[in-house]
Amino acid sequence: MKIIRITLCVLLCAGMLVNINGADSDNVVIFEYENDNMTVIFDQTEFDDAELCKIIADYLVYGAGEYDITPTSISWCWLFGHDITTSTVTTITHKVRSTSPRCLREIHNVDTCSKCDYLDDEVVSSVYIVCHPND
Amino acid sequence: MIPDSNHLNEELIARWLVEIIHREISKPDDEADMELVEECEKTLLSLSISASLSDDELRERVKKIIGKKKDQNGLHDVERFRLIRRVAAIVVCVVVALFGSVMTAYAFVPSFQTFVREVLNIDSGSVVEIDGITYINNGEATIYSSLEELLEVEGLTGLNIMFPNNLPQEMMISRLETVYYENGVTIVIIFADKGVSMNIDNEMPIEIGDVIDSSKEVQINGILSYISEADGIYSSVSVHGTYTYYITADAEDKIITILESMNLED
Repeated sequence: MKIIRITLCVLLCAGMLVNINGADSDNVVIFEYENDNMTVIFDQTEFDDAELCKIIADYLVYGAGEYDITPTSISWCWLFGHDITTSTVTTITHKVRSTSPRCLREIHNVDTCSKCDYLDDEVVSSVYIVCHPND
Repeated sequence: MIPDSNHLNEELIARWLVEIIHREISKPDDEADMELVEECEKTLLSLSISASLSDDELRERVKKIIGKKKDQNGLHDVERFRLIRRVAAIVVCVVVALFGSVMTAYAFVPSFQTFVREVLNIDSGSVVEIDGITYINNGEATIYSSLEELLEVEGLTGLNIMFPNNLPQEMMISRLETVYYENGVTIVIIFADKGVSMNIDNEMPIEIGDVIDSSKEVQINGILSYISEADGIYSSVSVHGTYTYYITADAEDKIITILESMNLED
């Protein structure tokens, strides 16, 4: 059931996107969500699992409501708590404002559990940066 | 079944009495209530002799036996049944909460776990801030007692980076993180005041001309900064040396306070 749900979500997301690039430089993985004007940037020294990066990127762009991967059954984590690893992920929402600095860069502390697919994030920094010129 | 003393039915009373006698005599000698047995026997005998007991007398006997049983057990049968039913209901509720309504139960768990973690003073991540500044690099957190110590240990001195210093208590720096991008590194400064954020980029934006066109220019502490506002959120962009300083805050005063506190770390 879960697999079907995730597959449907992925297909839905894929249909909404013009292009998602898993651009991969030396230490950085970048996902571009062109329809949503968003860029998600991962530091590869913190994330070595490309599939997890994609899940987190979708989660940060579409939110938990759109891409719900909350565990739905009783598990070890449900009873005793998660084994959390906190990592830093950056999102840039482009052209939020009409004039420069107009792109919002948010630094997220993303909590993932090594034992289950728990995922949560906290925005620790939000600044408007100079990224796109004025229209 | 306990007979209703207001609506007497001799047959039911007789059965009930026999049941009590049978139950009592089945018990070990030290537990059996022989007084109760005797009372039941007397009543039973009276019932077998037609018209030997008036309705009122029979009613009194039944009440007496019920009273004895109540004293003996501590709880009336009806009350005991209610208690059992209540316990059963609680058990069912617990089982339902645990297994029957997993989704509902799960919705409460994270907040409960957060509560427990807060009570036990366990942070959800690896970072526990007590005092000083936490520096996070590639997920590894280290706590330093001061900004100076942090900059020295992390090799950030001598880079001509300007940092806010001597800020008011409510705006103190609580954490620094370094985030690596394709073209460089950003130092993320996290303040105790959640309404303020600051990033220092080690590169100059190409489109700085657009900022100059659409912002208010201020010169503070020898730094030329450009402040703009949209929807109640203030932003400043300052370029100094090869670094760009971005501050976003929910009040212009906070940006000014930070800019006034900026100085070179060495």
